[in-house]
Amino acid sequence: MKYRRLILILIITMMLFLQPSSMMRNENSIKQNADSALTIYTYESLLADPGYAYDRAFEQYAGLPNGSVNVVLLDDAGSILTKAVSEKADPVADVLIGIDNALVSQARQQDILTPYQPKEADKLVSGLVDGLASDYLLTPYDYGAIALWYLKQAFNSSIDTSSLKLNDLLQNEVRNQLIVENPNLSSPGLGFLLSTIAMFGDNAGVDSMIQGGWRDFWRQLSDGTKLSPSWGDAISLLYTKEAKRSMMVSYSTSPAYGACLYNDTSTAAVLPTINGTQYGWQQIEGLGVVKNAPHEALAKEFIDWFISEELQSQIHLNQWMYPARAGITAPDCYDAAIDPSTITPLNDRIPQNLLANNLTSWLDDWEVAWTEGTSGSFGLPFDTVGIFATLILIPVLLRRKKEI
Amino acid sequence: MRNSKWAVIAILPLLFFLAIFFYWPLFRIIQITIQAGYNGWKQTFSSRLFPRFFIFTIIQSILTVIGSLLVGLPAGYLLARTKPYARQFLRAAITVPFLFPPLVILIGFVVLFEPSGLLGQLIPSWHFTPFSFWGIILAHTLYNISIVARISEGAFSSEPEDYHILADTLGASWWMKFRSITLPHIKPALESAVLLVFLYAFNSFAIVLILGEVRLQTIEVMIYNQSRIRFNIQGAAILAVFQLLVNMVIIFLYTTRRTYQTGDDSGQRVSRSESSLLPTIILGIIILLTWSPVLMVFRYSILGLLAAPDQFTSQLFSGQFDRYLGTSSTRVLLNTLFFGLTVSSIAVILSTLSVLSSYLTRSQLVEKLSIPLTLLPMGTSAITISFAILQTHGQFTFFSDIVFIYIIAAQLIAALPFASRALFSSWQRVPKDLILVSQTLGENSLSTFRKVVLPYLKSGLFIAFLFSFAISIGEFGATYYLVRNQWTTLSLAINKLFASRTALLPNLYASILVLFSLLVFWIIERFGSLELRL
Repeated sequence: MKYRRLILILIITMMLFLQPSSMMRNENSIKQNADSALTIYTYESLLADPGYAYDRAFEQYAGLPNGSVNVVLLDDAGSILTKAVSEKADPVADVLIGIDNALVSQARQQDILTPYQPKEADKLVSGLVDGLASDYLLTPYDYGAIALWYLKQAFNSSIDTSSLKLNDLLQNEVRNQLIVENPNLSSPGLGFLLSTIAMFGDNAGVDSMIQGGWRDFWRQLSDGTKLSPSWGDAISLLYTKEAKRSMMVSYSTSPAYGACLYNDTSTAAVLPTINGTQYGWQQIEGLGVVKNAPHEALAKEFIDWFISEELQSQIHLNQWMYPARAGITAPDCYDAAIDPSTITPLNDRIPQNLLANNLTSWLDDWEVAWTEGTSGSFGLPFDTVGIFATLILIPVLLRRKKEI
Repeated sequence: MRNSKWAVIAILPLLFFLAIFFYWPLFRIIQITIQAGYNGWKQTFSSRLFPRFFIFTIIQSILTVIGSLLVGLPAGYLLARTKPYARQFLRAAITVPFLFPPLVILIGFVVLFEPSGLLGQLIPSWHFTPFSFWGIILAHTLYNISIVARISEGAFSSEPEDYHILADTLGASWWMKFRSITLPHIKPALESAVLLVFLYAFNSFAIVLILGEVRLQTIEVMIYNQSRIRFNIQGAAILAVFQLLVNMVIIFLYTTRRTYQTGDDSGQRVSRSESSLLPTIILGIIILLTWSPVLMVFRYSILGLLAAPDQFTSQLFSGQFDRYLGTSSTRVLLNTLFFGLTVSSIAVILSTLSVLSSYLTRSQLVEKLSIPLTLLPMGTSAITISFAILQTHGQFTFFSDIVFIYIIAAQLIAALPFASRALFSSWQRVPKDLILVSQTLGENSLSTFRKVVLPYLKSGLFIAFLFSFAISIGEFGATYYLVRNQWTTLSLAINKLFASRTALLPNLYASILVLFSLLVFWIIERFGSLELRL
């Protein structure tokens, strides 16, 4: 009698025990009969808007049963890398999509990918392979310049796009409306950090193009600018009217999105200029085969297909970047984007090996600059709090000693 | 002799579990810090951010303690010494927020306090942002008011009436009475509360990770960032060991302080007065404050459902969020239940076995073992445990396949101290002479345990089970660190959907978590009382 309830609870528990374990069995069976299946790690916005179902398309192309390509969406490129590294001993994924030219050095150091030169590698836009990974550790699939994307009405007259200087971002009206992505977690965020390093220069061997230092720049930007963990989060914030954030780090092609889909020209992109020349960090995104991937052959086939005309012709209108394959013309609505021929890439100023050697310390320095800001406090007079806290703590500690 | 052999066997599963999932990983972390040598430590402590974030961790903990005392003490006092209307209800309403998962508080807190949130819409000049130093303090305070209120209430209400009558006769002033009667009386309870809140804030993860953005980090968040994002294993290990040492000092202070038992006998000093309105109103305001994040979560769930009632099923069962969540939106619910029930069942079994062991030895042996068995796991933060597990078990090829076992283990390590404490306090209430009587009558040890001791443990078992369940379903840090997509839980799903925090699904998930917590609380209160202390 007394134990009836206990027993009942235990029975219910056991039933629930069985439930997920049977679900697990399902998953395992997918895994097992999945000699044909492919697991892909990518970020959530890949070819997502309005949306091209690349997983289904590839299944069709490769003659695989529906559902055998398993796409796992992560927040951003950084998360893809983090996850793949944490599974290094026993890889789950076969293909990583979305590691770019800024993160490739980390992927190389962590030794999570294996090089593969796709069949139609010669069809790629020249320079992209060398800009990303000349050994084909990653194969480029798209590229575009990191730019500031903004709602025009919020900056009616305050921004002159033909002559915006990097330091103009520090004006209150701009930085209080700006969203930047965390360069530790997001590839456009890192691209923007690298643009500032390329322009301000660094002792590590980057010549300076403008006065000032990038650390000071970020220190000042930190007061007022919003830091977002991912590009996706940033865009939800940009379009939350009440948040009053009307500019974010994005791509030179971002305005084409509204223009092409909704005939909406209310947004624009802008790049920092020096003497009338627009400069931008060119992001080259790539995909690669995971080292010791469970399905390596299929992974390679997938990469071949990813730079084929079938997929690459979807890049303009679903990924809002430029396709890595040469000879695919942009639709007319791409006039809203910054004309790529007017952009001078900053990438050569930070060669791959320099980037690989310095990225960690640059990210450390960025964190220090961002954290300390200009006030050097926690958003309140630091000393006041320190003294206040000590005053409270000392008597407590002294009293305790007396008692013991 | 025989008994002590069984006692050892009974404690073995617990030791075995801790050895594999706790001591070995922790040992590995300590080993890394030793290998790092003097230079490694120097490098970590002399980094520019360490002193800053360490000071932040301390200061925010102190301010959280102050904030919780400022609101929690009056609440405890009013509950114990005055007679508000619907006292039992108010008392319950003040205590529950302690059980709310941090992600629930976070999402509700942000949509209420951010400039584009409800307050910002109502008050045009609202400029407070939750993503700031004070935002973190406020969120922590809201969370911890309930601990202070509940613990201080017990102390206030057990204060002997006669002293006050005597003092009144001798003409003592209010201040004199407070200083020489009330303060010494509530002091031990107050110190417990202070240390508990401090420990909580010092190890805070979810709230600081999200509200601090990158600018503000507790040591716990630093360990996460260094190990999981920057792959700086050595630095993270040093931070983890440092944090563990600080925690052990706090817990040591706590256990040496906890000598004064305060009765939980509510109502000793209230009988003389009539129900009054003022305390009811003040308590009502405090409750509204601590519940405000949860009310916001309910608000957005209801608004969302009113706008389109069929969304309830479409969002939970349609599969439109599957790619985003990494698993189906239904599976997220089942995962949470699965972890909750598994963790609480194992916690109850392991703690019952250790009570059995303690009963069989008739000695203080098991209780003497309590420092390595329960205090060390308690002093080890969720992120440290999962970081340590990944550094050791993560090297196995089967790690990803059975990661749910590691999630269960990490949650179990968090729940065990509470579960075993609930059971041991029931065990202490077993009349020991009954055991003797039973054995004199010829029952052997095990059947005495089953027939005499176990019935006394019943309420303890329930409380241990439910408390572990509540801890598991709300757990964020360890699960976040270890999880693979298909094992996403409700808290993690809320975090994933945080950017769209006014949308229906995250609020629906948060509401479900709140309802679970309320249910757990309601059952616990029926069977005994919520043991807020460690």
